[in-house]
Amino acid sequence: MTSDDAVEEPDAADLAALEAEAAALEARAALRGGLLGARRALLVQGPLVALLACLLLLVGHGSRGAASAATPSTAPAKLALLSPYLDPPGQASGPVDAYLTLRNGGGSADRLLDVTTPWATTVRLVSGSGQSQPWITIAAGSSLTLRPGGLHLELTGLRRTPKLHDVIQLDLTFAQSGTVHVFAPVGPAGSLTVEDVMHAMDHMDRLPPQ
Amino acid sequence: MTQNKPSQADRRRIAQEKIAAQRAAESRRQRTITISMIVGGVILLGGVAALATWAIGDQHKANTQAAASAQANDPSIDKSASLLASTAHQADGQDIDGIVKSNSMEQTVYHIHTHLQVYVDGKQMTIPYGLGIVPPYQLTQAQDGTPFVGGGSKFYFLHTHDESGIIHVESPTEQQYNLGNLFDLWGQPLTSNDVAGHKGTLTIFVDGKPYTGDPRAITFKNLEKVQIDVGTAVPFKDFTWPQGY
Repeated sequence: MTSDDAVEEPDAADLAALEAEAAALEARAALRGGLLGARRALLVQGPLVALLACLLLLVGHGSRGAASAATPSTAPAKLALLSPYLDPPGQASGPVDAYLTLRNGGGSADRLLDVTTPWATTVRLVSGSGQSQPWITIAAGSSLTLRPGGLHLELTGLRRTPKLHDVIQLDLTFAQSGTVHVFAPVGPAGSLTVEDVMHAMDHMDRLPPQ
Repeated sequence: MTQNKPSQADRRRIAQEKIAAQRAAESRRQRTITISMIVGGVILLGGVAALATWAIGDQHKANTQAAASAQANDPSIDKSASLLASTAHQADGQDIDGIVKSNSMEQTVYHIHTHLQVYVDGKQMTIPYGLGIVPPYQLTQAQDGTPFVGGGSKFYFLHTHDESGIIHVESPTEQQYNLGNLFDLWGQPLTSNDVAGHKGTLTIFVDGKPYTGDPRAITFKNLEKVQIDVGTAVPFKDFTWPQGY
């Protein structure tokens, strides 16, 4: 081997490596699809992804709208307890009858389940014929008036005999709306004043001082 | 005819040109990907932001409609036309500012009253009944025909029974409460230029004297009279306390 051959051989190997690298790069580019391939993928997949996102959005929004539309049928009871009052007792031992109007502006019925008061051991829901009722239903969007001669509340087992203008605390418990604290005058409903309520609230859940 | 075989130098040049071309193409490809990712990211973020804005706006609209609907269906809360703000969004029993609670007030030891009146551009606004009282309400008509709340499911230490503007402070301890506590319970803003959503310069009187401090810091005192004018300043108008206070 001459010294020229020794120079020639590394050159040939170097050239072969160079050509192999060029071929490999071209092959890899061909596999990738080159720039055109990437652009094509973006152009095709981009709108598809956007379309899919829009579809999902519309479906989601539609179902939420449907859920909102369904809400009124499951809307809770919305009660107002209007103008409560009690008749003065005919005799000292009672009973004492109480009346009020129950208004339900909500989307579902509610039931009056129980009534308590610091003034009596027992409060019953009583029909016009004097029969005890287990509960009173106040239908959605309706009013129910407890009145003399009809459905009403009856206090028995008096701890103290209420007299005219006394303010009586009644706690009415409803199935949905929970317990509502009511302050009712003995005498006409319109005889109650804010000041009466204010003073009665100072002695909440107990008999006021005589 | 003979075909010249490329020399080694030519082959080397050709290979080098191919490598350079592929590297340039790869470089362009990387640049395109980077630009595409940036542009795509910006578009995606913009889309998400637009979507979120739309969704939040839509939800807000739905909430407003639901609140309006709930308010319309609630037969007990105050719906007077000139309300300073509705009680539809007030607290429903949770503690407020750590000190205003709701209870059955079995042991009320601190019972005072403060009067609040608010004018917005010269027009007196109504303080709603039932503020600080959680529905359902017991509503009774007073002898003058106006409704007042005689009862409810929960009573906060700070509350109103009627539209007179009288704030009842009924608490089991002698605690100092302020106007900020009341507005927090109400769910309404109270700042130096915003009273329950009515914006403008405030002119404040406490017992007829000008007050220039923080409106939230006005402490409730017995038989105190507070007047807040939003926008147009209205001279102090006295309030006569009814009997029994």
